[in-house]
Amino acid sequence: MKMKIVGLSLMLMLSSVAFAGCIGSEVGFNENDQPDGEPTTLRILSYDAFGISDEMLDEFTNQTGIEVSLSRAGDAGGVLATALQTQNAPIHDLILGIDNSYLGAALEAGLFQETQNWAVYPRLAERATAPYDGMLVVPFDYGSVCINYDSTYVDGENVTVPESLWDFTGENWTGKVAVQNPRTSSPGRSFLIATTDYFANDADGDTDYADWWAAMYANEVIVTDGWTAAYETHYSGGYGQWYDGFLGDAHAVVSYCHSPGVEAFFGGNWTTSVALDIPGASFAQVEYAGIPVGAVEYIAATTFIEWLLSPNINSQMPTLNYMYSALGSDLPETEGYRHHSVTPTDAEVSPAEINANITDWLDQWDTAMA
Amino acid sequence: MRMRPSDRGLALLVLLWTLAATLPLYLAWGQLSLVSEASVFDTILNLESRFQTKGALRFTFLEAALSTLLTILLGVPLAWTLGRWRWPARRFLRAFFTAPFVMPSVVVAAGFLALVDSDGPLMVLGIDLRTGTGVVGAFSTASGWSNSGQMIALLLAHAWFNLALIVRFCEPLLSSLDPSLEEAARLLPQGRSRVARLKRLWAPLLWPSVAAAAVLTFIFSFTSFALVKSLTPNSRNIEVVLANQADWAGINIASLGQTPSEIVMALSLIQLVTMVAALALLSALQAKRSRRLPLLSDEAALKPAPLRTWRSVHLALMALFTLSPLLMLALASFQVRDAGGMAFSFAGWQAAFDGTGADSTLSEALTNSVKYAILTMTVALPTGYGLAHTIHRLEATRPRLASLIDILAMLPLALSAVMVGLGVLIGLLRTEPDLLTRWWIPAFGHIMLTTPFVVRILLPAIRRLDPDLESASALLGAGPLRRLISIRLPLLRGSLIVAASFVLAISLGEFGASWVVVRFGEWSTLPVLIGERLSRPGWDPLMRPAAYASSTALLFLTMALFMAVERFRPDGARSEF
Repeated sequence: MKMKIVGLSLMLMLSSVAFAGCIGSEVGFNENDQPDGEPTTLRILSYDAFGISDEMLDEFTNQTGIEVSLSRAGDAGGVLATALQTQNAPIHDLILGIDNSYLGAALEAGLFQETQNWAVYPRLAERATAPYDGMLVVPFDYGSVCINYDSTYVDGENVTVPESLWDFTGENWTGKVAVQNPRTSSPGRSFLIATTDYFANDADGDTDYADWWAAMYANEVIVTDGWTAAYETHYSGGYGQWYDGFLGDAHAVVSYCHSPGVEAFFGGNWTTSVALDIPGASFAQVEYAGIPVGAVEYIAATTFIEWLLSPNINSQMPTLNYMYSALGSDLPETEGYRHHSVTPTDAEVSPAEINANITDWLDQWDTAMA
Repeated sequence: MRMRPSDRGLALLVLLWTLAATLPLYLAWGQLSLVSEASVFDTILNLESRFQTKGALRFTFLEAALSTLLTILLGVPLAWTLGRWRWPARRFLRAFFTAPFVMPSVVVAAGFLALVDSDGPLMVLGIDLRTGTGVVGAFSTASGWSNSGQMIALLLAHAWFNLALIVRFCEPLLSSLDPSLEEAARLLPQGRSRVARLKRLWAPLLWPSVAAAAVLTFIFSFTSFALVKSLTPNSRNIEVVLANQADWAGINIASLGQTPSEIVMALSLIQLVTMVAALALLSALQAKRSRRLPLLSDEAALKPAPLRTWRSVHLALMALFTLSPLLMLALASFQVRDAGGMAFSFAGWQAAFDGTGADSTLSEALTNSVKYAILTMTVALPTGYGLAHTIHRLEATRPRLASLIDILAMLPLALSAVMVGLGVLIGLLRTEPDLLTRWWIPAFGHIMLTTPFVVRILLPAIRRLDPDLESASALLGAGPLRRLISIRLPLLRGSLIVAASFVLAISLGEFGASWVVVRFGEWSTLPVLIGERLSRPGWDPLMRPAAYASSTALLFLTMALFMAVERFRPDGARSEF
């Protein structure tokens, strides 16, 4: 009788596979090996927060006849990790969102092939091409990572606006600064990179970034694993105050220099958050689109890059993806978006320098913070 | 000894299961060793000198042990109150108190955040489990235990989830034990006082069940992820650290470093050893639970409900505890930020249904969830039945082998999602990279995670089957298939339906992100959609309310499913779950 049970189990399993087939066709995930005449499907990989909407993708499909299958893999780091894991047998035709802090590793691994988007380059802003101007990837947006502070705490009398990053090691800021773990967050990583350059170029020749981080650790800096926890949960000057679980114990946070602009944009031109403009204490993050070696739909990928960098679409980056357009158009004036944003003087660290030193920086950071 | 074809089939099933459960681990381990430079033991010795791992070991064991303790303290009295009296709508109450166990933790975390928020209901009572002011702050200062409030919130949330285990394991025994046993004890000199009866009658009867539930609670609290992330933002347990390092583990590129691979190896080794020890203990306890006891049918053993006593107050308080995070979450879905304040609005629900700001709409994601859940059930039920049947058959002749298969069956629950995800990825990449893009790959994770529950539910039911019944029917000439269809399946019907509901509910709420490192928009299930919305910046006033609306829909759907099948649950002292 047991044989029958097993037989029955096997039958059930088989029928479930058949059943799977039915759903599969219904879900409509496109295979590569399609007969001719079927529409092309472009397989894009991006990070979770990339704010491109379904309607926009539909618009792209209507214009070009190319179907889009969008997959997500965590943050910028997750995107690079996924792309590297699948490098020998790519399952994507286009990778969106690897930034200049990870670009060196991607190039070292030989992840990308040259794009043919010649027409796009002359239109790109200088800030977008500054870290890298080759043809292996195309920048589509950028923004600087820096410290934001709550102006209700920094009142100019008891607490003045910090003029050096060392000010944050003082008692005014004990336990009141939130940063992200650079191993798990890309703004955190960008800010760590900024500090390596900032302390290498400051007037004081005896101390470096590791000393500052050790002093921050001693000053009870709050470290979170991701941007959301630092900004939404800990930071007193942001939108987090409206949501459950808000702690508000940090009056300064690592975010973008235009985050106060985004606050104002959604807050009816009102925010208490201000971006701290200290020369060299920020890092310009540039995000790239790239076609991996082995991509099947190379031409469709090129078409998508062209579309993503068309003025019509790319100018929407500030409201879609909360970043600057790579074409250099300014932030919208609406509700004080531009007014509350700061264009800082960024630290200058090239992708090659980052690639050569980042493991050391991260290890030093781990030790300084323990 | 020659194997019968049926035995060969079962052996094949066990072999396939063992491969599916352990092969990913083996592959992941191989890849990690390739990348790592430091030995595992060096890494373990250096855990405290690195920010990424500092304090994680101590915190994990502490929160898991304390969560287990609190769950027992809240759970045993609840099981007693629920089990000893004939409450109106008893079955409904029982289902209600068990439902939290299958709720997706990423969603419940949001509910608990609303509960402990500085505008939340607990603050009204002066209890601040979030920012630690007032009484809680005073306790923190006095005890020197920083952020004690957040830890208490985490322990409460773990207890909220795992109360169900204690209720499920103890309540059936409490409600069906022949009352003449206690009456007899009352007459004996050693059983005259309540305390003496507790000590000499109830404790020996109940402890294996309580201990088994406690071991499972320990396992689930140990590997807890979403709740730790939200409720104790200043601490990390092993699972959180593993997830943090997951991206870079096993990638062999110099500039990405060896550290993540080394950390994942060291911590997953510690986790694996702890969990296998716990599962071995669980297996031993389960065997103790299957002693024969004089039992009556449910109703006969029960006393009339003590409606006007403090027992009803106790039950009402526990019901409030169970309901409150769910209600808070539902309320939060109607709160939308509007010009410097929060206003009541349906806009969050609207955005959830329209799919504004996400890759899929609520209904699309729900449809996908239901498809995955049905597929999962179709595979997990027969697999679980086969495993349970094998364990039962071996129990008499080869108890050690039975116990080993039992541990293997439970293994997926105790493994780190990170290791398994990495192993599956590497395995697929090596064999058939195209498989990564197949839509049913996530269902594999769901099947591995739900089958252990099928085994736990069916195994006691199979043990209860009367062997005479089958031999009699065989003697009368009924063939194996006939016996399966007309004897086994009808007798197991209730347990099968309950197992199916568990599988459906867990699959519906399974986040499963770690099982498939990359997620395709077309496959978005409801939990994945919620995770996606929660991971985006919340500047847009509709982003969080839409996430809460999707979460509320998922919670109440799960609750409804669970309540609906409760009447099929068989009575009996040895049922699990």
